[in-house]
Amino acid sequence: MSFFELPTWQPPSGYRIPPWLRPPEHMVPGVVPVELLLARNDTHAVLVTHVHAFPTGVDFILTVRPRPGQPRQRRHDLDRPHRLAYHDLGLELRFADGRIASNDPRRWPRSFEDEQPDPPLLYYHGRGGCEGGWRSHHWLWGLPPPGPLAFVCGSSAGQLPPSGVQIDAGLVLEAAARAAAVWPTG
Amino acid sequence: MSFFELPGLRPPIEPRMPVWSRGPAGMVPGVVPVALLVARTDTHAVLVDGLLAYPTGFDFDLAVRRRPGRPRQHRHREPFRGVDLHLEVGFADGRTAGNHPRHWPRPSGNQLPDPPLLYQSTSGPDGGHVWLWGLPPPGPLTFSCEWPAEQVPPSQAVLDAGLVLAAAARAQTLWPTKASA
Repeated sequence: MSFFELPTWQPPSGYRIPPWLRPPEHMVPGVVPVELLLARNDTHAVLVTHVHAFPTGVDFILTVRPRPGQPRQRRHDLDRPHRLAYHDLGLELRFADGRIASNDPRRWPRSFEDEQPDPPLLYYHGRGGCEGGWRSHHWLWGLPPPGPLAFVCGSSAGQLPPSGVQIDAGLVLEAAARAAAVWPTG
Repeated sequence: MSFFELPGLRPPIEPRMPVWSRGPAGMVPGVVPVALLVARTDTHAVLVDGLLAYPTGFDFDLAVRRRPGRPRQHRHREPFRGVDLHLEVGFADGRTAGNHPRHWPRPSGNQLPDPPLLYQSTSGPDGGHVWLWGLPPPGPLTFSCEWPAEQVPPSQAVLDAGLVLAAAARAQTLWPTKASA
């Protein structure tokens, strides 16, 4: 085939992110009617917001808010070693059947990007912010069983001791049942 | 005052954003337990979700969904082209707020703009984040959108404003002051 016979350029057909790493794009989520205050000390609060349920899992945002009016924190703040390092913040979801999902990448299956893992998998996709606050989008692959569902956070550096709240997983399961396809088939 | 009497250097504090431009940072908002499908065509859908309410207003995500299997249009987009997605929120008493620049106030000094004011803090091809300054009165709360660039016609969805008001009443202060504790 000569250069002049090459097929016309086509835009990328579109890599599909595996369904175990993202919520389904083509669904209206079921909103779980909770706002969770996981931890609060004199300088920071840790919240879980935007809890959206789908048939395949739960999407939510982990938010850290500094107390308003505090002195601005510098990136390398040797004067205040107690400051909460956002990136050190770990989160676990504890199911009623004893299973635990963690956002610690060291606890993710080695081949999770290519092979569908056994649920639950707690994956974060996108994190960022500024001194005014920090947000991290999380996706829980796999719905929890009925019973208590605990959200527990803590910082590996020890500034924030493990702390959390528990909700009824039934709220999540009911919301997942309310999720609807944007474009129904058939 | 001599140099030696100058007050001690204080570390900088976070710049204060105007109260009408975002929700209060020191509060846990109340969640409005609904997601709205505002528009849907054969190729695009526009959702309003992530509705969180405070005593001073509510914020939400304006989310664009593209039908699976349809390739994205590759265009030379201008920055902030997402503003082409026009959004208007209508209260039961006839007042409206929108993301078109003609709706934006020109605040002077410390004077607060009259609510409702819709402030879209982020905007892009996947939607944006919106803060609405001012709570609606009881009655229907209408979300209307139009996206000419993607052939999304004028469309709307209606929510009971009572859900927003109930959520705003559930918002809690994170660090109560001694006076309010």
